[in-house]
Amino acid sequence: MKYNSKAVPPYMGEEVEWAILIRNKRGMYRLPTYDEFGSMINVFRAYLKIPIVDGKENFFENTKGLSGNEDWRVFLEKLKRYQLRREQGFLPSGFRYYVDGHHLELSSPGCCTLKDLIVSSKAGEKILNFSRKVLEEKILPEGYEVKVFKDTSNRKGTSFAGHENYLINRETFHQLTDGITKETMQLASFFAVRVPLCGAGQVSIDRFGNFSFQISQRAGFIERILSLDTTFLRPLINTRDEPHADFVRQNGVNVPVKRLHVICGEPNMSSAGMKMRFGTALNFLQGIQDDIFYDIQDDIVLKDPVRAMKIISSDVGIERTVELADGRKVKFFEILRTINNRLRWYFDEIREPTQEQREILDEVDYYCDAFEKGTKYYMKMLLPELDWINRFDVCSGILRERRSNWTKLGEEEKNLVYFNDLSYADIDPVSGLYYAREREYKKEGLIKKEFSESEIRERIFSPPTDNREYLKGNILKMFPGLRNDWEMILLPSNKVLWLGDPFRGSKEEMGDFSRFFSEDALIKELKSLGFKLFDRR
Amino acid sequence: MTEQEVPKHKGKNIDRDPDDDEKKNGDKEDGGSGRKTDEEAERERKIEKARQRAREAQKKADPTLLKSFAKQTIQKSGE
Repeated sequence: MKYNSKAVPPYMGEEVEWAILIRNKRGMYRLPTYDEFGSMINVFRAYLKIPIVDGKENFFENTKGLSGNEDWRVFLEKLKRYQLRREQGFLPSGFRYYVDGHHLELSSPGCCTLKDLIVSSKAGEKILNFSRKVLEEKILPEGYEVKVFKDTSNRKGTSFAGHENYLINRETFHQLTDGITKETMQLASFFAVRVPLCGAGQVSIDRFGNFSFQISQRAGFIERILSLDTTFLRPLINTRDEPHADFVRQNGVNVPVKRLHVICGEPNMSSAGMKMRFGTALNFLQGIQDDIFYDIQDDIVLKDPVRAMKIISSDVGIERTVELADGRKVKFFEILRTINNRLRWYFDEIREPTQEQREILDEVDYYCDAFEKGTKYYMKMLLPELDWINRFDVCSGILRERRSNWTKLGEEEKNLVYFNDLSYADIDPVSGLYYAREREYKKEGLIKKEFSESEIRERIFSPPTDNREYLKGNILKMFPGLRNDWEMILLPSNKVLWLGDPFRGSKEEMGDFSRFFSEDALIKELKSLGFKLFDRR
Repeated sequence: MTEQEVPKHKGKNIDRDPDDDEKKNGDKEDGGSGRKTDEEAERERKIEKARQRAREAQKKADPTLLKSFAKQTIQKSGE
């Protein structure tokens, strides 16, 4: 690296809140109960043969006689005795599977690469599908059906989210969140214009019952630029200050870091959409840490990013413009191109990017070119890649066949469109419409294969190997049920292992974990490597 | 070169001529400016084939399920 870049290396994670519906024998839909959420988590924990979550201090006592192969009826009887409460719920693979408020949430492990993150997201779908199947087939009475959607709404009045988390330096975090600064406006504008690259798409219904289509599911719920709120008056930039890390070692010095918690996006079914969501944000945040957008402020900052996001989201035909702070009107892709050109200079001259980060630059250009070529072009050519286009096609295909359109939908068509819209995000590979389409695109070679099924399966059981998740996950495999959080783990001897630097504890640093036969041997090695260990007070 | 602070970009702001944008956009109805390349035409053919097959799978959903689902879950407004 030629220059002393302030940007910290990529480290990110995803949180998905799952929309779940249960249909009884009479065809009535309801939300899961708290116990059912608990059962979904615990059947998976039992499958991994790790202690179930019960909120008590000593997990080990509660797992006597319990194994993943136990008869499910007996298991359930035992389960009833436990009161699930808000718990950490970490798995050895680095996921956190837990109940947050009144929804089921699965957070990915911290990842240093986009590939690792997408693999983790796909593994997360498999974990949820396992829990769904067990709940449907082994726990609920016969004839009940459980549906899990990777979607921001269960259509029963609740909005969820797919949050993103990025590690950035502390100075930039405060520039972004301490008040509305030029950096805040740059980032807020970026979040507004990235919508067509990564929107999940959704049928939207107004209070008069009229149907329309939105590119982003989340845009309608964003109401301000900056705030701490996540459940009402949601912002483009969330000020939540829970870093889960202290510093990273860079250029021989400790750089203080924080976690930027992004709540204005939504979970993707397609890997290409997810790659765009995280990849573009990762690149932009690296650039903003080195203040590379200062002199193109006029070309990228929107007058009203919140309003612009809503305009872009409702404009499937990409006909409308958005207003820059100086009053000029431009299309979203012009802003994206300006940002992309500046990032290209940044990666060429200042900071060496990863291969994936470079790919993102090329892909953004490819998508922008397609958007510029017009509606017919991008609606066809980007179908295999982008969720909102695929989803729009799922819904508008119904209308085409019935010679109807969005403004004159009959009751039956509304039902069909509504059901198919949600079914797109059904994570069951058998019934989910995204998966039905993905299979066909794969047969025609239209989707680039960037990871294998075995890599996804592997991630269900094993953490990433290039950061602290490797160390934490392997300790959890050695001593199941230890109390832990993102940045710490309480060892059986009541010593706290502090993991404030997310890049420490990788496989490269720790080597093969099977050589540690006891906690003493592990502690000795950790001490020799300079890890922070202290007694629990 | 020794390590030093990140230099500032020396480029000027991009002055945009709105006419250029219009020229670039071309005619939307014929799928943008210029003709499709062979590669694009092939991709389009494959996408259409895949889409048709996926549409058949989509039609298999149970109609009673649809009716019951929509009746109980359609919301009139956001949250």
